[in-house]
Amino acid sequence: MSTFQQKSMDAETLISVRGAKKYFPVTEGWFNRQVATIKAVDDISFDIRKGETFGLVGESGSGKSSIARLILRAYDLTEGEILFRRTSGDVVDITTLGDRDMREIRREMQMIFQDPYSSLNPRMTLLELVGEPLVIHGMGTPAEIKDRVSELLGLVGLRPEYVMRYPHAFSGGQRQRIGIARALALNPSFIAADEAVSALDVSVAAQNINLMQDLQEKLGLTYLFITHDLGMVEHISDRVGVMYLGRLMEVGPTDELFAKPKHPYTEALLAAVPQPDPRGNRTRKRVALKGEIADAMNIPTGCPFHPRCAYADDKCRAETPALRVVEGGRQVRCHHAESLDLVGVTAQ
Amino acid sequence: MTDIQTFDRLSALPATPPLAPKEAARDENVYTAKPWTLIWWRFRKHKLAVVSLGFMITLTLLAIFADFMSPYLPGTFNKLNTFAPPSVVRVIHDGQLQRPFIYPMKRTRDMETARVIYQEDRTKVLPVRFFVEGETYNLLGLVETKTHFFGVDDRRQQINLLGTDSLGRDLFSRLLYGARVTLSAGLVGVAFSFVLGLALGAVSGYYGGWLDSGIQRLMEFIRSIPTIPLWMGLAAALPIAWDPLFVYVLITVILSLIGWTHLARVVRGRFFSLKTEDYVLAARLSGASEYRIVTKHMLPAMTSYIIASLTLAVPEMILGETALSFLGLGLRPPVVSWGVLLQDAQNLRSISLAPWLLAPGVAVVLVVLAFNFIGDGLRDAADPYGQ
Repeated sequence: MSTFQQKSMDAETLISVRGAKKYFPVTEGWFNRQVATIKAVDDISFDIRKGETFGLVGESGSGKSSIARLILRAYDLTEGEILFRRTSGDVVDITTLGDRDMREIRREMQMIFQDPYSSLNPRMTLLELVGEPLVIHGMGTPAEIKDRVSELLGLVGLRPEYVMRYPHAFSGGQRQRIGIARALALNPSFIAADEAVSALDVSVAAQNINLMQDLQEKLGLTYLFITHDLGMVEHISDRVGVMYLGRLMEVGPTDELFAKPKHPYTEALLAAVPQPDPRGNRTRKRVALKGEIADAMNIPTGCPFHPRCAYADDKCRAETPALRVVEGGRQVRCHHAESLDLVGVTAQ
Repeated sequence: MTDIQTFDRLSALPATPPLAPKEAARDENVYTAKPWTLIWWRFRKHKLAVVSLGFMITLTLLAIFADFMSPYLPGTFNKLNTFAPPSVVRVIHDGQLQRPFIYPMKRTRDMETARVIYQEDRTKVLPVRFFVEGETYNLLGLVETKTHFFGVDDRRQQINLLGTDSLGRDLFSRLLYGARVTLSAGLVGVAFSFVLGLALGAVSGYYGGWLDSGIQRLMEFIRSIPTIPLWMGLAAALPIAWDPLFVYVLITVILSLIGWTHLARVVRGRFFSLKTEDYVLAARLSGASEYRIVTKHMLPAMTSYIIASLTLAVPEMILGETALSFLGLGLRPPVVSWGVLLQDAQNLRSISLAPWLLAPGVAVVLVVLAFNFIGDGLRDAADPYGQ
């Protein structure tokens, strides 16, 4: 792997996204004239540390899933770099890799999908499904692959005898665990879970979340956990990033961010979370979010959040704030981060 | 905010409750059933389609072994047996049950109109015999033999299950020989359009963009051409001196040049929808090559749809061949096809005199219906994982 160029990165960091941009052209007519640009991801930078769970939250259309797909290089970046620390210790910029080098990297980063139905090929047995990554990378004889698949199924709490079954024999939660087994097949160090439990019942979702946490402990995995469910994020994440219209609005450790949000958008999201104790609602200040998330083709000038922000002033309408570090090492993209006193939620 | 924690107690993964042994075995069958097994189970529920499938298999076998199954050769004429009505196979003679037999026909002439009249001679019994010696032919082009599946043991009498035509040729024999040409024209035509449709549809759906727009416009152009004038033009371009079999291949090519557009649409649509399936992305993220993704993930998900639409395309080809030949633009005698046979039924006089000449038309209707039923059944069963 001498072709990999060395980049510098903090020793504790597994993935570093730096100035990532992904623009999709909107074309029209016969000759594909470009009429507009969708900025799905716009100038995003954050680090994911080894062994942690980084939560990414935001409304639908905020670009959360695009980030996961960019890190796994399902799409190519428009601009920016994504550094990844290999198990060997080498640091590579995955955005510049050729197909063959990228294939090597794919052993170390995998994805768990949102929809447990469409993410498993219905025409393959569990053996073929979970074993496919092993076959692709030529890892082992058919007998060895079968053993490994049985082992993986055991790891995610499915009976190893199920290897000859097809996905239609399983419930949504079980299918999601098959997806987890497939993601684990190549022994990756990083897994992106894109809304991995959003399609499941609450109780089944909780089981799978706990399974993912157990596996993280056992196998030393690092997760990028994408969801719109703040309760889930609070439960599983070490650090959280809040996204709005393709931009990161705030990044910080989970407890601090939940207890004391620094961005008005975070405050509004937290206020919208249902409380287990309904009487708690009365004592809490409710910040209702005005309007809808803006059209990605037509992002507001200045701070993209200003049309919906209760604290917006002329500066917000004119100047786009940058993601900057404020007290306690937290990052916020707001002009008034220091002066605002925002309400979070306190853990019981 | 901490409501999630309360579920920790449920974290022990649920064990599947044990089933009764018999029930468990049956369920396990369903769980490990191959996709094609599931498709067959679904198809089986479609009674009409199953009956049609049986009918088509029988007809195909009859066509393949036409020379053995038919009592006479398609070209054998008999000037003393013109426009003979169908022979009725009976089992009761003189109030007594017998082995199957026919009554011989007596040919007389109406003295006033000079028309030939056939009458059954009820005094004599002509038993239907199996494996009788008849005219010599080459079975499947390999073995020279004289044995026919059935016939009558009488040099002067014939068994004509569907009557005879103006030259006294046995219509049943000609129908079986014609089935060979007509059915294979349908299949060969569909095979041609399958190749065209699959290739162009796949390119269109997989790459998209301007290539897709170009192919789509081409398809719309082809579909907008009025077919009969086009056929007439093309048929006029074929020299009359060419070998009839070569003309037959050309006719099917012409039909498929028009017919491929339907299939291309289906393939394109499937590629479009499959491209965005999560399991295709999952394979890509595992490092699968384009070739593996197309052959292992996309094509298997399409085959059943493709087969269903191919089945639905066969009747179109058969109708096309029949129409062309009926109009005299397609196959010409001495080639025997259902369209050619129907040419004999073109004038009113022969239909009123010998309505059995329309039998090939009935055969066309039955085959077209059967293919449509099979196609419908397959289409419903094609996605065993949908609702």
